[in-house]
Amino acid sequence: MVKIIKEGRFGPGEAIVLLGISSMARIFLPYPRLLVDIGGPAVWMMPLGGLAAALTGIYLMSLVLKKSPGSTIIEITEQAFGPFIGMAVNILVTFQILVVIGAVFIREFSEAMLTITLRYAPISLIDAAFLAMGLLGAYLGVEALARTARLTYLYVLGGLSILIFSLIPFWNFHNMLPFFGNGPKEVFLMGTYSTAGIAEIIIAGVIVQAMGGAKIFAGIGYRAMLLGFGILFLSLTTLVLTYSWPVSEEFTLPFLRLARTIYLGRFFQRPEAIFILVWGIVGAIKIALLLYTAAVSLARSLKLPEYRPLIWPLGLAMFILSLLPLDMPSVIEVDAVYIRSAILLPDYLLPLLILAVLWLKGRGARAGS
Amino acid sequence: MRAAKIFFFFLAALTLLFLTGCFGSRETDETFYVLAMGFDKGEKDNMVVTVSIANPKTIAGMDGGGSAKGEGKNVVVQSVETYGPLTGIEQLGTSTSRHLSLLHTKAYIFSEDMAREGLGSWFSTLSRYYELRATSYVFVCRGKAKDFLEKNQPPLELSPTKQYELIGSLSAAHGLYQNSMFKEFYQDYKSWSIQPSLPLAAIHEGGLETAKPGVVEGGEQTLGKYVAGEVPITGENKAQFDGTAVFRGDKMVGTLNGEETRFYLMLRGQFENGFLLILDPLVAEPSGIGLSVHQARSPKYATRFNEDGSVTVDVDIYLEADLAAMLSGINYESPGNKPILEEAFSENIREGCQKLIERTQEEFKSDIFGFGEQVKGHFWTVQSWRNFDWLQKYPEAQVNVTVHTRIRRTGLQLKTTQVKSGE
Repeated sequence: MVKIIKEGRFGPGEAIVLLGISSMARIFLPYPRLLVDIGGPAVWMMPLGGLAAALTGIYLMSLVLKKSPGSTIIEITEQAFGPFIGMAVNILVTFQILVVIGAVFIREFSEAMLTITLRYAPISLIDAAFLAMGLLGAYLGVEALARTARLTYLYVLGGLSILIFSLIPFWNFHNMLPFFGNGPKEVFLMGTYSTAGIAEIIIAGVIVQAMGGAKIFAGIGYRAMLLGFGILFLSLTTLVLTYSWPVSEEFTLPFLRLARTIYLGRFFQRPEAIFILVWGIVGAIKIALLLYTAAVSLARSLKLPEYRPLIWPLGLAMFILSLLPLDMPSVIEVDAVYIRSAILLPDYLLPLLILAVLWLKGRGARAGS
Repeated sequence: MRAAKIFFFFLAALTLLFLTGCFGSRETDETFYVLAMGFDKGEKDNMVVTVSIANPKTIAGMDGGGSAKGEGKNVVVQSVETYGPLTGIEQLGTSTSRHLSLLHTKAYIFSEDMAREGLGSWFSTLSRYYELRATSYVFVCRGKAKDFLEKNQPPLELSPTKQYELIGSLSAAHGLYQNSMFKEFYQDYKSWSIQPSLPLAAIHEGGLETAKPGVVEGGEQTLGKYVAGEVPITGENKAQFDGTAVFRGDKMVGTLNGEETRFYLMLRGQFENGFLLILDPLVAEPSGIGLSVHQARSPKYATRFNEDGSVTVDVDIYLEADLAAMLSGINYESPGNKPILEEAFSENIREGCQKLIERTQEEFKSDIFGFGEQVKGHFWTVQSWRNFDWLQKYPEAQVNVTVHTRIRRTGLQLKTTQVKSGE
């Protein structure tokens, strides 16, 4: 009998905030620039399709989790595909998605820090600092992460609100025209494709028991997606209102540009130092959650009673992978080309496949009986 | 366990030794802050970069108080002939003891010669530089930016950092120049719907003899007939800010004087306050009436496409005015006379705006008003908007201006009593 991994427990509020904050981490990176590049002045509409897809993803995941209410997506995958294929799929998801995403986020956050403020620090040092935060967070567990998110979300959302409201004097609503930007296909089709890929759906599937089980999964998931996508929508709207799209698509770190643009008279300006703290908090929570989920997924796949011994090797793998891209443009390309596509598989395809296989198995069993 | 805890506590305490500063940190007393940066065409290399550096000794009140004339200035000005803005900073660093930082640079001043050659590449360079702030002010200098920075020594300003910020905000008080930040120029020159413009700055070399003839001498009845460098002011500080540099793309193509700048701001809805003069409509001989004017609300724009494919833009400008000065003694405060003055003033502004629009269409071929922003709303996608190519079509567009003026207040006098003639 395998011992159950102790994950701790937290309430729906903490779960929503944890997943919401984790999914908003991408707005601090070059990701909004990519969306402006695709959608042009209609970039603000792009998350709408992604939100619809993410809500569908949560619904599908909840259907999967309800098939075995005491289990997580890891066990259900094995139930559906059998112990060998199921384990292979789980390990693939752990390494291909969670570890690689973690590595890319570590590198992108580190590059952002080097660009913003610590210009002469070695990348490995900043990388290691983010990894250390991730290791500590993952070691303390998801309950600690959820409570940290619950404690800090007011500061994070408060910082974002200050940013958005402080930029109102610079808003130009003509920046949103032409209405359909680079075209409906780019805005809605590519917009959905580019924004729907978030790790939080699969993460939620892994930490479902700590969140309170399959019964309340959908409610938590919907709210978390609304929070994450709502923040993305507000950030993109603020960006395109403040800077016209031909200029926005040039920015390496659009959010930093927005923070540096704040100028409310001679007294209130240069608040970006505050935002760097907010970025640090969000980055640490995101990396810790990814590392934790990767470790727990692997431990569950390998039927290990404890996930903590896996944190260090997985963290080391993340660290090494994060240092592999030669430069910032390369890591941004990995994010844009690989990550955004790859994450769609466990978010949407995996639940669909599981449901299909379980349905087929059920039909076979019914036919047999 | 207890021993382990103590060990980790000491280990944590030991790490403090390594946390005394981050990589590349610079203390405030290791840095010289560039307050303004000027760019002129170079003779042997691309440009002459001039920096105006805050003098920490004077600002901190450590210059001894009894220093000789010339010492104790708030700023120190240095120039170098170089390839570009950032190489200039590096080269200037060879003659200073501290790192030169652009983190507090409030103004970037380009000479007219450079502006006419194009500023795009230099703006791109600066925009990429991590120390640049897009909220810095940008000016075009008639003459040399180097001379401007050297001679711009405002005697009444305690803090040199304040000067450019205050100058930027002072635009709202009279509208004789616009308030333009780095980000606005950068966006406008990359835009397909508006062209950029920048405020003009210059050093005034003469005295009162540069005054242009007033209306009595057959000149214009306006205080905005000058551009920077021409305003007849005497005094210690020779720096002036007045008028607008008009750009097509990233190249300067002409200038507007102070009065035209006011019309420009009214057409954009950015005119906040100003004292405007018109000729008294009820008096035969030239006599001025002064009105303190502000823009009541943003202009209304209506755009439509004509059958021949051209565009018509209708602009309605809404102004409110206070009576400020009258020489004729006619009782314009009375409800009967007030509409006459309102109508005359509206017509005066309309005529000025219409002339300015014609100038931008025929002489500059540049939509600095951003009418394209309104036209853009007729298009659904970026591609169709770009194919339409508004900036090429702007010179043929029909722009109709209507001005609505309401004189709301009459100052501290509600009636002008006629003076008994002594003859």
